Amino acid sequence: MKMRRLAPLCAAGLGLAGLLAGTAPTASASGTTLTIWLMTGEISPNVYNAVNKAFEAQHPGVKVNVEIQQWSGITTKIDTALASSNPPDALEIGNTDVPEYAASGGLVDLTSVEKQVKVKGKWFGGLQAPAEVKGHVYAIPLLAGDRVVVYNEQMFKHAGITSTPTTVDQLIADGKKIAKVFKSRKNFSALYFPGQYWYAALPMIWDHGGNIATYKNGKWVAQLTTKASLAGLQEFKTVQNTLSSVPSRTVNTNLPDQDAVFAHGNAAMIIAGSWEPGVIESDNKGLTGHLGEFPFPSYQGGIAPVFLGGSDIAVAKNSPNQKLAEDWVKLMTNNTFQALMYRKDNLIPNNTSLIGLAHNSALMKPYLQAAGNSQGTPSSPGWAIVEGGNEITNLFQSVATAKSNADIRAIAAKADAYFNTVLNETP
Amino acid sequence: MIAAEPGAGTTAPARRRSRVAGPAPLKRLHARVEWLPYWLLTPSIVLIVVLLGYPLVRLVETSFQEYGLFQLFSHTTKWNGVANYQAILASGSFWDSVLRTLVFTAACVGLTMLVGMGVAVLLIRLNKVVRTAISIAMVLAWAMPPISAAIVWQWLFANQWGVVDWLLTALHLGHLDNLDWTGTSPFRAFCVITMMIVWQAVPFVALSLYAGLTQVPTELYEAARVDGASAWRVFSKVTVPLITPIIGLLTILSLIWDFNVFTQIWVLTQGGPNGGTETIGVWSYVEAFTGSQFGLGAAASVVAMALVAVMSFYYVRSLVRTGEVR
Repeated sequence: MKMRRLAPLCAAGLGLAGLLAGTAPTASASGTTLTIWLMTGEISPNVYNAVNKAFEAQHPGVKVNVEIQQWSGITTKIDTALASSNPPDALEIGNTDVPEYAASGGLVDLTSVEKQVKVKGKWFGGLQAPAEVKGHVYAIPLLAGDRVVVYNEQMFKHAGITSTPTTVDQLIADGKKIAKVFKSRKNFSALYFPGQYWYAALPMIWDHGGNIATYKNGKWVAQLTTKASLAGLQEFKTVQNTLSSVPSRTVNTNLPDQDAVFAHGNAAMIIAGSWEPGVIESDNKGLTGHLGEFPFPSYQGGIAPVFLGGSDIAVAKNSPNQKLAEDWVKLMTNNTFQALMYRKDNLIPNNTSLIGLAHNSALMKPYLQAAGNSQGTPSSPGWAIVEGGNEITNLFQSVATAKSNADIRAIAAKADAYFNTVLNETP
Repeated sequence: MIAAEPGAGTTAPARRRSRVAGPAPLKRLHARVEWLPYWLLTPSIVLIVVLLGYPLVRLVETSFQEYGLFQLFSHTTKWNGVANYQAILASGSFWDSVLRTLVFTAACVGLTMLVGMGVAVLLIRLNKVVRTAISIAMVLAWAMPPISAAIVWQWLFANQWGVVDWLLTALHLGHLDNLDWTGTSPFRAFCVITMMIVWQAVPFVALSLYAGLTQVPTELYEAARVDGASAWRVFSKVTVPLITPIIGLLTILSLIWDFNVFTQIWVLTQGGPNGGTETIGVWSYVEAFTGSQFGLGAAASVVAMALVAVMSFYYVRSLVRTGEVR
């Protein structure tokens, strides 16, 4: 689902990729053709054509055909493709969807491939954790997306704030100052934080040492009622209720669109992905050059853990060209092409060894910095059910609108019961 | 239900025709003609069987299987008897959704028919220019794809900077600036959904009823008025009985459509807040597709289909009877 959330990423700018794929021939008469599915708006032709060139040099006579997929209805499309006898040989899958496909036998076990591609550094935790099911690796981390605080420098200046906050308390204090300055604006939020925005809320639980669930003795055990998790939920409520407008408690980021809220001056800060500053600037040209970013702070100071979404790349079980597909995957996920992808497409690469990598855009730095301390969602096949349903957004909305700490405990207990059931379901 | 209609529609004229053709003396011709309707019907029957019958059989078949991604990928079949049905019938949230769906459907159908009838009667009285303008406006609302309509309504009823909240406040109906229509109260969410459904359903009903009303002979009205009947009496004793078949048909169609509403609810609330607007359609979608439990989803669809069939049975029967009487 994270994968789906990345949808708007440069979608307009990279529409070209879709056009190219649309006109590409689907089969070649002589030799083998390898079919790769990538998602629209992410890896650009600049990058995958370079990978294809390297691959075709390794395997003369084999052609690679990259087909760019649209987001709408992608899960159904992947379901049916993996069931067919002629699936794409390798395909990009949203990281949190991997466990379900792996557990149901749609993907090739890539454990040995993963050992070969793994570089000196480490995979980003948020990408790797869901790709590994019961000690076997079914997908290789491909690209990542995370969220940091994007702020309006002019508003910070107005409120007399000269440096970005490094603790949650400081964030709240700065936010209050800003809110005072702009209190005449209707529904103004110092930090616009939709109550259902679980990608941004979940890291606060991690920051306090809590989690949704942990895997113990072959079973997922829900953790939301632990002291640590409750502290995280309470912190979320405090930040949300203090800094964000009252009506924002019951909405998600899409309605109203948080980028529009920010662009139109109704918020001084939002928690946003790396594709959003561009959207904001095109919505309000006046903000160009006046946006800043900083990683969401930890309550103890420093950088809080961050939710890392993104995609992995896997090989289809029914592919007749598994070995060739594995070779393409090895190239795409190695550091040479990951660095190219980072520079050309503003996508966060798949491993920590590239964190220090320079980029011509200052924007990417805080995103890469934050990704250094990332976590993912439980790697249970049942997680797909969680994301498809409403329980997780309900959980945070209920906490945001809770009347007391006792209420929060009751909400967490209800959520625990749900997670204990759903995460232990087998496909 | 849908599959039965073309059949019902085509047999009725055939029957009437044979009655008319009965006394015809040409026996040889009669024998040849007997087969002709069936040949003419064949293409549509084949289409119905392929497009509706086959999926229906597969649906029922799947509902008796444990069918998930594993079965899909490995092409295996795992029969599990009535386990899917047991799971559904034992689920409290399913029965909640059934109750919700029934009340919601009743509200939508009732309002649609009432408003539709009102508009149809209004259309009869209006002059041509205004009638055309209203008809065009209605057709446009009707022609709007449900997804686009739902997104527009979502914006109208947004709790921050939404037009409806602004308007209610501007009309001094209270401080409703940030009234949350879809996020906190299932009742309010249902109000918005119902309004949207009725808004898009009224044009078809109103135009069909209007067409029916134009067929009522004016002499009957004149006769009733000469007898001193009030406007309401004319309407209830003359108009309604004459267009009862149309009312019945529209009610069944509305019933089937409103019972199966999914898109609008999904766009507006996704079944929330806290599952408060989960109708059968939304319930089975969430259960079946988010967890890839296709067997369970199929069983839920079969149950929903059975419910619609039971509900519309009475109407279909009375409709067929009315047809025979005429």
